[in-house]
Amino acid sequence: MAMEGESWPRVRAVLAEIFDRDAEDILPETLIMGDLGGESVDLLEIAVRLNADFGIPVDEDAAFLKSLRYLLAESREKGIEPEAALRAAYPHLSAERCATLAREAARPQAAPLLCAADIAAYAAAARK
Amino acid sequence: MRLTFRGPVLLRGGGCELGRLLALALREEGAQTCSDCRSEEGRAACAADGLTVLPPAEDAAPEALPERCRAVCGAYPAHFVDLRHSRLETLLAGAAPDELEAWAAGDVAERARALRAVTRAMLRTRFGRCVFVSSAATERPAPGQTLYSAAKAAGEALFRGVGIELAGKGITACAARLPWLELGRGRVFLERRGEAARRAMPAGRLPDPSEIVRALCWLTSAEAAVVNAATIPLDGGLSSRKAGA
Repeated sequence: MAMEGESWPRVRAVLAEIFDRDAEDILPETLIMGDLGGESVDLLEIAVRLNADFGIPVDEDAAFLKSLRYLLAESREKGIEPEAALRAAYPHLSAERCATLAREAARPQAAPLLCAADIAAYAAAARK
Repeated sequence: MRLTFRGPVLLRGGGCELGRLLALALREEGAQTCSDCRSEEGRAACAADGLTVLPPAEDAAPEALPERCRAVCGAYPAHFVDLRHSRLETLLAGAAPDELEAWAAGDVAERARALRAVTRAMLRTRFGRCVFVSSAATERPAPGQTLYSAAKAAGEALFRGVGIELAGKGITACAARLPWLELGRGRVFLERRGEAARRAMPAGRLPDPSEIVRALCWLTSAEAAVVNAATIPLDGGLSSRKAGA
């Protein structure tokens, strides 16, 4: 997962500080919950830091993919293509990432899929 | 013992008599205080005491509190004391529907919004100390205090919740239940019922406001962080005593 732009190093620094890790250990594909042991209070802290450091309003639902499973279930009920539903809800994510999320989240017992790159993508889009 | 304050102390509802006494005591302990008052009367009383007051703002929403504190003190609040409460005391069945809506908005929702805003600002530095000034009437209200006690119970729950949710991020909170005090609206009540109130106290006397202020000062300080997600009676034993005994 390649990352460009100035948002990535800054988001990585925020994540490293919050989770007390070396920045080099945080990769774009690092899972916030699975790899870093993140909890809801950590997401709150990330939101506060993004708001303060980047000067951007943070929609926590979108930034942290909180409604991912709900959106996928709703898309199934309404007969909407899951990837299209995710692209509409998460315009900051690439089509490729939305497709991956739709595929991975459909697996039984799938772990939370939010990764560092998702947050960086949100921050980059919000700053534009 | 010199108490530690790691940044400004924001006193919401700081224009009341207790708030002003507390702010003065905190300043004596070396704290930088900032009082948020709803009324011009409260701001004038604080100014007369030489206290720092948040000026009236166009955006007086609770969400603006941390920024307003920073504008005056140069830093976001590190300590927060919430003393604000409306004057509404009425029988529940006697309250008008719009009074109930205003009560819920003012005494419950705005408190939650203020606490949310302040604790989010505290997250930036991973330190915060929050104290809610509650009442012995929370658990045992007199007729006419149903809404008052319900709002105090809600406030206690909000501060307890912050202590549970954010302690891992260095932000702790507690509530303190106070008895009758010869201050503000308590003085009016005690003029009529003072003797009965004193008889209800195990010591046979009401606490002096300075005793309560000293305890609140400590609870507000960094040293009291271990008192977290808890409601502490500062009532001289009033709530522990069997009624009429």
